[in-house]
Amino acid sequence: MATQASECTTYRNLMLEDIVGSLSATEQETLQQHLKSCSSCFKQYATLKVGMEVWRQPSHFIPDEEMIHLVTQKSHKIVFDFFSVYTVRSLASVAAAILIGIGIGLAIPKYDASKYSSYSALQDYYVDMISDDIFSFDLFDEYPLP
Amino acid sequence: MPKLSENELIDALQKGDEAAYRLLIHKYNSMIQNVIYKMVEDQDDTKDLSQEVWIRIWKSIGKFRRKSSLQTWIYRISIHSALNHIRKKQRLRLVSFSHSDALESTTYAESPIASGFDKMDQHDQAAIIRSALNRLTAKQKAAFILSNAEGLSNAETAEVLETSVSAVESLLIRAKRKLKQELLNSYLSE
Repeated sequence: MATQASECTTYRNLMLEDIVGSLSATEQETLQQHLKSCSSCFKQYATLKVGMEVWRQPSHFIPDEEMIHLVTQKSHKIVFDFFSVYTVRSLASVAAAILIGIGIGLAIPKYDASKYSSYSALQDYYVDMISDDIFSFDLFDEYPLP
Repeated sequence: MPKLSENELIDALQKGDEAAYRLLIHKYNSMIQNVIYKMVEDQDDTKDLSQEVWIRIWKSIGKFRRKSSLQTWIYRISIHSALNHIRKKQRLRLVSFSHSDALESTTYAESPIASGFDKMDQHDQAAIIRSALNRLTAKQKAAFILSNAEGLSNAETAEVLETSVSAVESLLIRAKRKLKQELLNSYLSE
């Protein structure tokens, strides 16, 4: 009797291995042989097997129209919201970029070539003189080089 | 709507076709709710999460690059939502630790495990399996559900969980070992 009990304990391990799906084909054969001869183990095995099958069975969740309507509505709302937020953000980004550009443009002083080149200074000097005294023929006598 | 191939369905969805979206809901809603329910084990949470999943599908179908099948992609979104939900719940449980401790002991006393092996009906037995599955980590549980209940191959499970096949194999080995131990402790010791 004691031998039978310890034998059953060994087979319980195999039963659980089988239930969780990690039993090899040979071990499965051995287990089936034992189950044929031991009603107590067979009963426990059947109970376990049914439990696992019940858990494994898909519950039939059928989508009702109300649920589909709700999900479709929510989805569209999110897309709409997303676009409106997206549009506002885009416009704000463009406006900010323009303002930053204008700011930078105003902040940087204009490049004055006369400050950096003596030749340009000379050119400007004569241009000024010519424009001032456009009809003067003795321009170069009156205004010697600086 | 006429029967569409997967590619045609995706094309229609990416163009924002509402009829295609409805068709998709009819086709995959049961699968989504089943996998989420097995993960979170609460009807209301399952309903809310599946709605979230549908909205995420609608929002991100445009980004779907067809590197995996549509089914795998939907499984991935569902499992991720369920895993996030479980993580959030665990965080909440950590915050109200003392309260949940008391609650857990009550649940255990009322659980079918305590009611005796012979008196159990099919639902009690399934509840024992669920209770044992709850002792697994969320990722082990996800791998076990995808492989054992949804019938996905290890490669498909790896794709859903965004991990390698060897990582899935290792997850499944640890899940089965732990599950067996939990069942042994709670079930056959009766």
